[in-house]
Amino acid sequence: MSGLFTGINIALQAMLSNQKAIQVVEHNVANANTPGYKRQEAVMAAGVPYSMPSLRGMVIPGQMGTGVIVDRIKQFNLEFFDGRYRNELAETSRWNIQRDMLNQIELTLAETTSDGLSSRLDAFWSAWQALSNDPSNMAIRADLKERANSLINGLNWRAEALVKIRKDQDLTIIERVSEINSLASQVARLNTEIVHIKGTGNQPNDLIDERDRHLNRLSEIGGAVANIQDNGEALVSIGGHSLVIGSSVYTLSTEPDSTNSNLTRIYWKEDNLSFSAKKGELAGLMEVRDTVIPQFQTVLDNLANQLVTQVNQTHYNGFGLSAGSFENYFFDPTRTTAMSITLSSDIDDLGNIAAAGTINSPGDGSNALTINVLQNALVLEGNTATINQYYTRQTSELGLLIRQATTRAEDRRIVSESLEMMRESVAGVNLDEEAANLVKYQRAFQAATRMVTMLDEMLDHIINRLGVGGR
Amino acid sequence: MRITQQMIMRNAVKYMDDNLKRLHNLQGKVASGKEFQRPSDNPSSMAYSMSLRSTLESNQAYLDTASLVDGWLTATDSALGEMIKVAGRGIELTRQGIPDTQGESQRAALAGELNILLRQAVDIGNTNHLGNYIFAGFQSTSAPFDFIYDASGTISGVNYGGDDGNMLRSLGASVTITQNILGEPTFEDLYNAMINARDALLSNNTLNVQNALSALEQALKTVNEANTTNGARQRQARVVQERLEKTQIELKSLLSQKEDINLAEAISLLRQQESIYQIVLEVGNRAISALSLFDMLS
Repeated sequence: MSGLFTGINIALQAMLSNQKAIQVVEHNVANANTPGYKRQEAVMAAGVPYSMPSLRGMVIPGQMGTGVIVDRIKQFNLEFFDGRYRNELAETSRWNIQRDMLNQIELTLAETTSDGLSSRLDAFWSAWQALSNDPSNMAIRADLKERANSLINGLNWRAEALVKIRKDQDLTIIERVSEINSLASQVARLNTEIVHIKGTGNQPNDLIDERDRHLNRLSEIGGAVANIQDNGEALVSIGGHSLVIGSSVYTLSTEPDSTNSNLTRIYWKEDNLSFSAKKGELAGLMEVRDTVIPQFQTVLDNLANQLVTQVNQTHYNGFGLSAGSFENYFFDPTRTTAMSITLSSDIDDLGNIAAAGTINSPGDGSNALTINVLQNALVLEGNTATINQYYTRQTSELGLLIRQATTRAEDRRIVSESLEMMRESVAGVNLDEEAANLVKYQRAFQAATRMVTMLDEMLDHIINRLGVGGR
Repeated sequence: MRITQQMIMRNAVKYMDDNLKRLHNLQGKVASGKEFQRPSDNPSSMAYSMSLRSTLESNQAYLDTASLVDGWLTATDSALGEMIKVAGRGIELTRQGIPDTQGESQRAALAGELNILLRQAVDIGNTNHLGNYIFAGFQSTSAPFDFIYDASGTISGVNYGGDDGNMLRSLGASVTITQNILGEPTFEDLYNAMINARDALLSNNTLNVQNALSALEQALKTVNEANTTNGARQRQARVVQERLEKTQIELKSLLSQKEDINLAEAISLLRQQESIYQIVLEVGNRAISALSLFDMLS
């Protein structure tokens, strides 16, 4: 009797185990497109056997099996290469964001083929030559002033746009910092849960997946590094400073930095240490904000400064149309940055534009010619470049910076993509495989139910037909 | 390697992306006709083309100057030609007055005619070209010559109101040319000689007339010299102008070589890319809608 009932129990175990396995397959299929999901498998094992008691020996004829159990739900994990993957992720996102930001700067400087600062400079210089050809012509004077204004607008607008981009980046940085804080507290919460569940001997697969997603994002933003302890806890550090230890979190704060044009400084709230990212989006943002943009602001300022100084110097020594018109400035000499450069009020009267090299000589255009020749004067980069050459060099340098960022972003993308593929290859869900497994477990389940029917028939024989002979 | 549907899908999307990007670039090139539109497209070519543009612009300014200079020199040339004619006529009139057969009244008539010629000559000295008095030095906005009358109302001299400003024009980084002939050194002697000749004829003194004639001939020489100088300048300006025009054409073709796309090549590349893209779409379609074992299980 006990043997038959044991059989029903074994069949029941088989049904339940296969059902569980089918549920795992369903879970896999359902999460086939979930980012960061790692496929799971119900690992089946034979049940604990027991020894049959017997009269003559301890165990005869041997140990009896007790059917199947689901031992654990295994997760296909690749902890060993998570670190490498996250490292590439940090680099990729760093260069990506740097490339995007540089592209924005490039669009701002708008050195396209026909309407850039360079062509406005050219137009400005040739207006001086036109003036030298016919210095008493008021229309030419007006045209010169117009071209000077267009050059000034070009400089002003670009300088303002760079400041704007810098401010926008600052906002993005603040946003990213608060994202880091929120991710860190979620990782800490998950740490607590994972340690708890592991403590009970279970495998918190889906919680680990969720934490991995957060850790990936942390690497993307700030190049965070995670170490998984034996108890399942993740220790996270970022920029060489601990971010998460177990369930406790260190917080990043932001404040305006008065030594850096009131842009955001990031520091650790607990110990007030400065934070600077070496990887990830933050590193890219900070580098563009603190190195690249100031560089091009300096370029525009140098340009404006030389323009004002050189032109004014010559202009001041020249003479206007009327006898009393001399010692006038062309640009406002007190405003020498790209942001502030403007025409001097001296030349509100067009007759004060000093085209003449001698006083009271309306037909003399020699001073205008001297100013025109300034375009060939080597005044920048340690007196090796003209104003135009300097700007051209810097523009092509920007182009090179963008090329470099684009190439690096592309290289890193290829590496992280192939790592992603490797990860997917091990941990991703293959629907065909799941379908095959489904069929496998379904058939086993069917067989188990058939077993129950068989045993039921056997019991029927024993209960209803045994010992009823001769009635 | 174990392959999952996700990998196939991701690959398909990636290849579509890559090809679409290439298609986008080629379309941009064909539509704009330019090899590069931003510095990052080709930093070194961009720098080169920017400096080519600067050179083109400054060359154009030199060309504009050259054609203005040419106009000025031509105006000067015709004024000087007129002046030489007038001076020649003056010499002829004076010569007619030399023979003793000429009586006082004939000489007075000749003097009257000389007086008219003098007015003509001063008129020529006040030639205006596009709003500028070309013989006035830097004082080009006012007429340089005016008459001095004596008590009886006859012209006793010609005053020069201009200055000795030389108008230098730049026809290249190191090519400058003086475009103006100064009125005072060129015409003053002529005017004085004409006044002297008139007075000599009026005074009816043969010796004085002879002296005045040689002074006139001397003054004509000065004008002739100025004319020669002007002619030389005209030739120089034309040579420079031609050279500038040639350079301009060369620069433009260089710029076009750097910047402009080879349309035939670009379009055939575009076509090729279009068909590659179509194939990628086709393949992507199959990859994405591929059957799985689930479809086959009954």
